[in-house]
Amino acid sequence: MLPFMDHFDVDEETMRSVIDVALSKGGNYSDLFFGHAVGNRILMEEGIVKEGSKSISRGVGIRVLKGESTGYAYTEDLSLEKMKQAALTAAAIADSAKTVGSISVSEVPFTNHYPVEEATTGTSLSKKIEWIDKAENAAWDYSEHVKKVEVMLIDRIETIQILTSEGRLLKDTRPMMRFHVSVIAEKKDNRQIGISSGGGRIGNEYFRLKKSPSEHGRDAARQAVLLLEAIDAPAGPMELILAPAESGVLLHESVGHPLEADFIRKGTSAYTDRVGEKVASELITVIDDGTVKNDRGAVNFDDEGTLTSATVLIEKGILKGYMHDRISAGVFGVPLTGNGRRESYKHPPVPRMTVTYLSNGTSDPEEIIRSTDRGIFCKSFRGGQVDISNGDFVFVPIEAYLVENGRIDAPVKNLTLIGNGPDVLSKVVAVGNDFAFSDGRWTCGKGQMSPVGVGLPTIKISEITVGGSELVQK
Amino acid sequence: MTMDEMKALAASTVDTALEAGAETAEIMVMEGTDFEVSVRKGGIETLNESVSSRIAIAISRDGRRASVTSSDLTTDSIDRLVREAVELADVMDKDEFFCMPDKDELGEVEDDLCIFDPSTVEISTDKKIKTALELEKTACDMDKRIIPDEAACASGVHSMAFANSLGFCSSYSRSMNSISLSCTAEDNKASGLNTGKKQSSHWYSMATSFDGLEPIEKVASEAVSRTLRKLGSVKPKTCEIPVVFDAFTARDILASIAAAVSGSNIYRNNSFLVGKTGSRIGAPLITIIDDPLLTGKLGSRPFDGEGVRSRRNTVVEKGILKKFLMSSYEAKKLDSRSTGNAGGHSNFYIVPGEDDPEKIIGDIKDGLCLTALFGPGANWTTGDFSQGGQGIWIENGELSYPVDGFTVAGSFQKMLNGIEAVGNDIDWKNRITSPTLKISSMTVSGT
Repeated sequence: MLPFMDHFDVDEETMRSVIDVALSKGGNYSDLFFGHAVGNRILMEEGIVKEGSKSISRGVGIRVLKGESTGYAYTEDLSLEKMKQAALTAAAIADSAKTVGSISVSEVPFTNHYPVEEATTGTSLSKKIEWIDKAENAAWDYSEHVKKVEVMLIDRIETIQILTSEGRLLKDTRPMMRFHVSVIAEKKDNRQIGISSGGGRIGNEYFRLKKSPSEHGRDAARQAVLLLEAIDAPAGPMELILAPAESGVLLHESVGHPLEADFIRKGTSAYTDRVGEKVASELITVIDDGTVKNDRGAVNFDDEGTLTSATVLIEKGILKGYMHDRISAGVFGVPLTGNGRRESYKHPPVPRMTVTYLSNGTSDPEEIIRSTDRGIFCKSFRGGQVDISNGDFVFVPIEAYLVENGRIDAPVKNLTLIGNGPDVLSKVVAVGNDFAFSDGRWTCGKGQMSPVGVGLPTIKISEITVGGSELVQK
Repeated sequence: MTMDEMKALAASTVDTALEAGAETAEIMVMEGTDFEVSVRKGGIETLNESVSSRIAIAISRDGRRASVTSSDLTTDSIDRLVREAVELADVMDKDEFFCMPDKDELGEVEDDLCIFDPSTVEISTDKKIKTALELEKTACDMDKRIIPDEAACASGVHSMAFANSLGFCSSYSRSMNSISLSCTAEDNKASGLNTGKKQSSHWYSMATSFDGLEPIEKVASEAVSRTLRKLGSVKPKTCEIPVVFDAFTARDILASIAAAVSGSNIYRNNSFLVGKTGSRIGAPLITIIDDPLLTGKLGSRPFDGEGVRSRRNTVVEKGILKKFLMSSYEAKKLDSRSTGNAGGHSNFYIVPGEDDPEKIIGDIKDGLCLTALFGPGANWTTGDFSQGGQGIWIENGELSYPVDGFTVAGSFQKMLNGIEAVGNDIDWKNRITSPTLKISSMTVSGT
């Protein structure tokens, strides 16, 4: 485990007195979230290592809860005076004077889900540039159609310290690295972009254990060149097969967001009040789990100090529960699930996914393809979005193919897939036995940016609306 | 910090950087105060108020560059950051195109752009809470089917000082005020396993001054009607059809065009508009302008992100692509001159046309009016466009029934050339804004 570096220089006595001020107006809960983050980025493009950059942030966010109401303020000046001032601003959410007994503080032990062999932050620049060079060379070597190559190595170390008014003190060091290659390929007037990206809460061993820089370079180039030959996708309802790992994006959008309990508490999600009901095919079991080792979406504890664990959301098609933060768990009187996450000390936590995945099935993935007369097979994705109220979601493939008579055929481009969460999940007719987690490249934007993970085995959906531009004669 | 203190810090950090061995330095010091209150069911949901500051240091040595930013503005921290930047630059490769702006281009417009309203900081927390509560109540009173989701009132004041090693040093502040409302309603048209189907929508107003916001009644009624008109939405048939983008969704098209004309994407070949300067890229009805000099608008600014004086740029004139929006570096890469767009576009808009949106719709026998788009299916690299949509079907010149669960697809190349009408409706609550647009034909994928 990376050592906890104390970047805050505030003792327990100081923190306790800030909590006292935060609760002085009658709030019934308060927490302090100290965050320190150092991020580095190296960019190579047009054959040169063009720019190195570094970013440092440090501050404390002070939150006061009174029922479902949140008062929040942060300060980047960690003097007692400024922290007390911020605490008073946050406290104003409540309106009755109150004296509180001082809390007794004890540090909470936890299991580390992101052991790191060799931290990327702190690695010599010459070594980083060596990896970047390898990726770039591999991309150029792939094809004469490659016209531009961009390679980025991003790393970040966050130090977190939380004290709650219940006296729970938690300290963590959260590493993150991401390697990104994008390639533009051109053939006459046709221009396409390919992307390969990955990483996680892991160190440099990522390149050895998961995917090497050259593999990233080749993969991005392969994708761009493949798309040069892609045909315009058809329009209309079709069968859909999703390849393992990255296709978990479908899950993140279709049921992930609508099961975040702030939407349930407010009654705005299509899944409100539906626990115990059938919301998907019995082949479907969905889990959110922040303990997935070294995953981009993993956290040892969430940003309000709850240790993470596996939360079953849907079991064999039946809705089991939601993802909670402290407020929604309080409203429903259910245990905390460890989903209260925030982008930084500048934001109060809200219910968010960590690593959301669909459990493994029993079907042979090759048989799933053989059994398809005419459909679309998707391997990788730009991303997606959901309307949590009506349940409609979209996701946009990058690498996708037509399937004709049980065989993968021509690559297709320019398509969005649109479905309705409960409808599409009731049409899952096969779940493969080839489960895999996606490489760590996903960032979810729900007001605040948050790194997440997804995973899925091969699945087949009997019908979804394929939004290409080509009308098909029936 | 006062403005003078911010400028002094920016200027002194330039000196620190040059002393540490930097050959060029560009320093930005930023400070912001933000307030937001959101309410639900008559009570406060979240109240958030904070002050933050940041310094950004960009230096170069022999065409090798590095940048560092930090929330810690103490002298010790800045000295350390500057040293780290110099060390970082030394391991970068030399970029033969690296350049500072032309000295003649540095400066600021003299007119007051009215982007900072000092009264923003004087509006009391109580007034903002009351405004949010009133917005929610107004909406709920309009129709009992409305489930309030969130009503919010926010304000912010952001100041920025910029100094560089060519001797430029200046600053400005901008203020922002907004009110917004999200509503939901039960949709009985639910089918299959989706028995909890609802419809939701939102509306908002944003302006440099609080008094410039749209009235509460207007924001409430727009959010309510946008929500209720979606009830009973059905999936439309798959077809090719004329499509009207209302001003709200037309903005999404323009946001992709803004990316496609940015110098940083052009020199990377990451745009479908590479090499198209001087040629026709759209119908003659289309003129697109980037104008940082508009009085009181959210994207107005006296100088750009590298101290170059702001100026109005016509990007597309009657369908002909005139120029890209470039910083000094991007301009050098493209053998051109800076357009004053370091840091991106300012107020980027399509010049309004003659027609009322009602008239545009009235001219369509069978078509689709889009009211919401979603998903990352707009690809400005290739020009491909396929997005999820929600809207209202047009029959015999009238808005007929609501539709959802479909996609709308085409390509930017065809869409821009297929623009048949440009509305006379434009608002200024965003830095990117468009009137209603009608496109001759697109593919709708539904049943």
